[in-house]
Amino acid sequence: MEEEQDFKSVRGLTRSEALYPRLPLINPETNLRQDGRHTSNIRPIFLQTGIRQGAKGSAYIELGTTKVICIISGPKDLPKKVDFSTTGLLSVEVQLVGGKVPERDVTLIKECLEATILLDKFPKLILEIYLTIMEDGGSAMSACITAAGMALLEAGIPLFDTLVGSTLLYDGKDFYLDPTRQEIEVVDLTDQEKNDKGGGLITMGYLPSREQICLFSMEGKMGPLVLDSAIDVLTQTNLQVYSVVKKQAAHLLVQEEDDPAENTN
Amino acid sequence: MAEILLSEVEKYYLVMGVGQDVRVDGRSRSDYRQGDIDLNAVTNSHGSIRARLGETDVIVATKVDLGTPDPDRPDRGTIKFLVDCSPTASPDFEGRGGDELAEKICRILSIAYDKSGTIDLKNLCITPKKYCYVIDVDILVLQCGGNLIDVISMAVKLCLGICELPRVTGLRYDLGQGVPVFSTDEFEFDYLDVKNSPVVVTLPRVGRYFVVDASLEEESCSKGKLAFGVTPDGCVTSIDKLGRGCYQVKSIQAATAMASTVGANVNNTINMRIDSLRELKLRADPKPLSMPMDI
Repeated sequence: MEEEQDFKSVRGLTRSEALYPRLPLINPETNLRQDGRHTSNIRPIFLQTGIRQGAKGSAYIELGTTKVICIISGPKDLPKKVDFSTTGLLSVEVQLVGGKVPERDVTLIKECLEATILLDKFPKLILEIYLTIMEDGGSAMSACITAAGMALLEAGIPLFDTLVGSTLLYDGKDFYLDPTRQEIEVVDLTDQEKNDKGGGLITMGYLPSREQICLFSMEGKMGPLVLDSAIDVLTQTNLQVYSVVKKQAAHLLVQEEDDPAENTN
Repeated sequence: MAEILLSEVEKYYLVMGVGQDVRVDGRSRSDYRQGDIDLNAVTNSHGSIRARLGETDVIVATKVDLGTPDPDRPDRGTIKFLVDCSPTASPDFEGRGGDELAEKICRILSIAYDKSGTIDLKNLCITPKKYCYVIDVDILVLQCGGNLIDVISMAVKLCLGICELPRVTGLRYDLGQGVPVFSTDEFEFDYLDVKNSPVVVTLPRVGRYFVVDASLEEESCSKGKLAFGVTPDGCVTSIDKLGRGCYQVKSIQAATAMASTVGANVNNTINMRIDSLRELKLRADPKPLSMPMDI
């Protein structure tokens, strides 16, 4: 059958494809990732609380170009349409500017927060958590988790432990921590030829002092042994993120003027 | 899923039993319940399976159509899932109650089949950018007796394995555009290669241990579940943590190891079943055919 010139379906380069072409994960000249990081380095984190006056708790986080705001409101009385509950309730809303957050991710974040917060401490009340992903430059879900954890600390909500999150990308050979969106797009798991080596994207939410995992999501194809070592690596990464959160939490304790704490790794 | 009311003593008995590796019905922690598969339960589809495991009962039917591929993936066909949790399955599913669970299951299945690359969707493409096979997989939950996601994933794999893709015999020229025409010969078809597609193994945590194929009572005694998608060679294609529990790192690693071995076994059994079902289809008449599923 001859190829007809169908002008409606000719795909030229979109602007983002021209500006950000699909580069391989490792730059062959420098042997590092495209943004100059080593495979085990996370991007520098900018974390600030108290960004919204009047809100019970608020936090802003930047992981490279990923920007997330978390605002916490409550605990307040249950609205009439919600059923009575002997433990506290959580209402979690996650928005992505210019996009839609899949239902599965919202549920994962909600269940993670329900596992972290001591809901028995505020029965018959509801706590509202609003997350806005202003830009998703990769690892947005872990940014949401860390931001929510920080905002909860500022709000003084009773928690089991501080909450941190991080993401790992596996391309069949190495682990790439805190991947950017370009890196995630390069590992196309549906491509059958690449499938013999496997690949995967794992997000983990972690409670550092208790050493417990409260959010775990994986997609791709990985053998069980690789998965085990990926989990260990992610746990270590979460401890790195935790050191940043600790610094910012110390700021909260010392009642200084609200200057942002710029934390770099 | 449905809430079961158990007394404290019953819960204690159940949890202690799991700890001793003897569950309420006598199974060990990694045993499945007795299962049955019915072939051709729905006669006007391209393939249908009714699967029962214990009390859980689901029907899966596939329909194959001609469609246009996704513009982002022009050389691949599509598989769409639709789950319907009927109110007869559980009182929780009345009204909109079943929709949340249905969406969750759809999502787990889409990730298992789309994102893992275990099925070569390029085989479903007829003409790149223009025509491809679109397989609609409809799942109806008749009874929810625990471990719903696993049974659905097994039934879906069986159903896709026996799904007949009609061969393209030619083009019909309609206003200058050539549209592929499917063969009307019922013996001219291809099968989809689902050998490597994953099966979901859900492991709820009861007490200090993970159990395979939990009944409703066991699920009500667990605070959270881990759902693993496992391929026949033991690789994991997806992990979903469902529910409110937290896990130690070692727990998740232990669960991964368990899911990997159990899942590989189940998956290989299902592959053998698919082969025997395909042989039977060549000889059988369209009346429903029942066979046990020994896992």
